[in-house]
Amino acid sequence: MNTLAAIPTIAEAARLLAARKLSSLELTRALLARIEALDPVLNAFLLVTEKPALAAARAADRARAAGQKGALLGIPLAYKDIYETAGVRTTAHSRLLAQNVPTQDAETVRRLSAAGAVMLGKLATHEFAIGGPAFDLPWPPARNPWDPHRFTGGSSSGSGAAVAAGLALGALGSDTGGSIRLPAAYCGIAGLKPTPGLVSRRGVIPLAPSLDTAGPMAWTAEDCAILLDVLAGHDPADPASVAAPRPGYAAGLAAPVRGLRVGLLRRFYEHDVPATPETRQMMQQAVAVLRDLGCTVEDASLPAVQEFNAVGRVIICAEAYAQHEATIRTRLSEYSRAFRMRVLPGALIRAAEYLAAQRRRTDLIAAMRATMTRFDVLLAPATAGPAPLLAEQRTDEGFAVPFLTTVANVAAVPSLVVCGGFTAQGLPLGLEMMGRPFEEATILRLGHHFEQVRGLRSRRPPGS
Amino acid sequence: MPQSMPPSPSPAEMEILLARAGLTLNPGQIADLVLSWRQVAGLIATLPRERKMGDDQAFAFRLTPPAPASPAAPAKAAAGRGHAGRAKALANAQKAKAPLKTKAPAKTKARAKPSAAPAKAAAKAGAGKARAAAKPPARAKPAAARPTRP
Repeated sequence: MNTLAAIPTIAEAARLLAARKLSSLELTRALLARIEALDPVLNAFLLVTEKPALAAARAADRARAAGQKGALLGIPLAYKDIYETAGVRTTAHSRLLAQNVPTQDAETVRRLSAAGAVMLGKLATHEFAIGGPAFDLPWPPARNPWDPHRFTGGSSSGSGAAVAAGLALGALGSDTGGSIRLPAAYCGIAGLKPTPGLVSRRGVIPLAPSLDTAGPMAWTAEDCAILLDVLAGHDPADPASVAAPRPGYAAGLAAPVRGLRVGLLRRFYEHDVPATPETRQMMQQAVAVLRDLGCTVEDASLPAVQEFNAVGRVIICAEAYAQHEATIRTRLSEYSRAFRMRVLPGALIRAAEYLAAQRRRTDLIAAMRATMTRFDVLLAPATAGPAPLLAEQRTDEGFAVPFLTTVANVAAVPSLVVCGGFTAQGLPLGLEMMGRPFEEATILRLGHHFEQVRGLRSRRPPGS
Repeated sequence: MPQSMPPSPSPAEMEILLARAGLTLNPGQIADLVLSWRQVAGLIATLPRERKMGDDQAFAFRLTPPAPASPAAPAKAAAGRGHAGRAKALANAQKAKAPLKTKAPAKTKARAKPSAAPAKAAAKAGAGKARAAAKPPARAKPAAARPTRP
């Protein structure tokens, strides 16, 4: 079977596989055929590992025949190309690592492989997960499946495009200032930035270690929960890893959400980063859905989005420069202009300025903690509007527009983006739900219930 | 309190800053840096800088104290590796009325353990390489074959 009547979610595929109505080999072949047909336009993949994927799918089918079970057994996934993969080229979308073949898997990749997942290949990103879409790199930037002239969001650009177009059932992304949730919003999928320490970052090429997180991207919140069940867990080799309790994220989705206290960050999108009328309408509809579900929704307040962004961007710039300093000194011209524009200022940031950002971060974390005593979940749009045109992306304005998503990175809270609605043009709009540290289960549950009631998950990009 | 935005560095100042950072940039790269630095300087200017001397949470390290339930575990683990192992060797040497130099074998033994770990890791890495080499080649997309669109 090289075609699918409809792209299944991970949960649906797992049920079909368990019932032997579909084999992993059939599913993998169908997705490889979709990649071959659609990816020449979307550029989501930097590398398609076809033969190993087929071998892994066969192995998963054999394991299932032998009695092995598991929600990810035989599920085809793909990984942002900053996740190290043993024996498989890992470039970070940079010519500097064009020949880089790691000898070990990232801990997250290892966990997924151990659970029986099938790796389809490596996905496009902004160079080293920062900078924006660049046309001066060996590979072109990914394009949005809802409109290939539009930006996917980034930096997990290929992950967003691949999942939205049904080229992979799920993907790994990374999020330092919004890099999982921006592409999730622009591509109309779900993406989870976990609490720092919940998911190991070992073997993920770092950008800014004090803000970096690794997490899942998939079509639904339920699929993100299934992936998080495997990804979450203590890794002593990641110094930031935390031995946090791991509830069954997928198993907990069905519990009711009635009574959850939702805080609406209205000022964020009405004043700080003014949203488009369609985005505001999406927020109104989301609030109505959550009230129908039995949640209380009241306005919540936090310091301005700009304050979170100033802190996040100074930290990212300084830490990213520190990560790359040796290479920047010797091979600067090999980086993209977009990367240079975002990272080179880090050479000029003084220690006192970096520490001022870190100190302010502790204030902002405290402010978030205080607000979260009144609420279980905070709600905001993920972006001010739909995906912009790629041609409108300005390399020299990298720091000009604040991101709503950076709030959760700086405040060190988990954050889920789900598809909240569509514009009249048919472009998706993302809804962001932030939770308390290590309470991913709550936002996944609310996101799942929201998706069930809102009923947008049957709508796929045109041509998919 | 937010401070006023600092002025952009002059070309001469930028030269000094770049030299301090060990960077050699061409004129186009310097122009890009001036442009992006202006934006970063604007962000830095908004960061509050006036704090009391004692008000500093940025350098907090959380060190986990040993679990009270298992005080013997670390000591046991250390035996044969650190001071306890050496003390044991010393005691044995004294028992055998051997000179103090019999510490040496104990030390050698203590060092042999850690060196075994990297050897194991190297063997594992080698296995990984072999596995990688045995893998069929991935279907890479040549850059030239991928059209870029402005």
